[in-house]
Amino acid sequence: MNAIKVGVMAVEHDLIGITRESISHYEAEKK
Amino acid sequence: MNSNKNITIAVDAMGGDHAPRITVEGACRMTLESPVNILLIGDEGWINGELEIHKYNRDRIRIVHTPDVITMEDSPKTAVREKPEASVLLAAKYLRDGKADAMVSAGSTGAVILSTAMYIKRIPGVRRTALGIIYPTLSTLKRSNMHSLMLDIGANVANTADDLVHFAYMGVSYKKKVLQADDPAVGLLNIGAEKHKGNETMKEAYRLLASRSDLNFIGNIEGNELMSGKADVVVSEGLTGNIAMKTMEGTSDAVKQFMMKPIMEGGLISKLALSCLSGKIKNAMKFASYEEYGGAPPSGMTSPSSRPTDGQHPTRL
Repeated sequence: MNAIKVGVMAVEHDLIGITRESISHYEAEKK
Repeated sequence: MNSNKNITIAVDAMGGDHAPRITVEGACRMTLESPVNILLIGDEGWINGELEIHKYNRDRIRIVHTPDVITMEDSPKTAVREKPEASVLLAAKYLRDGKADAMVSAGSTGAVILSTAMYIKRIPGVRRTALGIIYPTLSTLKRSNMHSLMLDIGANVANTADDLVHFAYMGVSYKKKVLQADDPAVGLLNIGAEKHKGNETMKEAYRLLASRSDLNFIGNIEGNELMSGKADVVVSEGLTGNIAMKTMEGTSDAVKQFMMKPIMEGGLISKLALSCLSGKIKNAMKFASYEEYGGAPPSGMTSPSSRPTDGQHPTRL
């Protein structure tokens, strides 16, 4: 998969949203 | 999903050793393959010169002119201060301002990381962002979408154990959402399989990863297992990951040469055998070729960006 396709897929599948959610869950459980 | 909206990608047209030739060619190809809008950011004259050579969808490419570029020879730290209008910085600004949905640059790793760090916020809690690479493994022979993802491959030199846990979550999210894997296996790249192997950071990272019930952590993996497909997500410190990635790329090139040299230097029978097998050999070469897996997703930012692992092949952009 080339770099532009990676960018498109990341947007289409809300990659940032799910990453934020899982890291936020980890950080919350650490405290 | 945003499939009902045309996605706009800001491309740093001047980034990489062979820019803008390769970047413009890669962008042109993409406009013919998918309904993506592309902003080519860089020197308008050079870009137009390259656009004249290639077929592309004219409705999907727009040029954003800037004469400044951060070259591979520039010190990234100095250049981002002295060249605020450089193409890679403008791409990051367009992303920050919502004028693009994602950015792509084949420029120097340092410049790309610094540019995104200047304009794009990190995900809350994330201390270090990571660069990743998707690569083929023996599992890819069974199922074509079974690529592995390794991160970090060079955004950092050293990391904490906590960073490595974040990288695991970034990688798992990517495998699930982009590569459609159900329950990705996470491996920690280390110098031995046992949990007590490695330095203090690796031991602590092992402990933290093993304690997470929402991660399918399979333990340490060694360098010789990277291509096995045992781990869908390989977590590593940036220094180690970069060396591992470059070693795989170099080995892939060397194996191709080992295979082809005796055949090309052989007699008529060798060449006849080659011609009979050329289709299969081409497929095998394509499968094992790292050029086919060019997208390296940086992770940990609040907006997506992507970077080919080098800028020598338009197929990687």
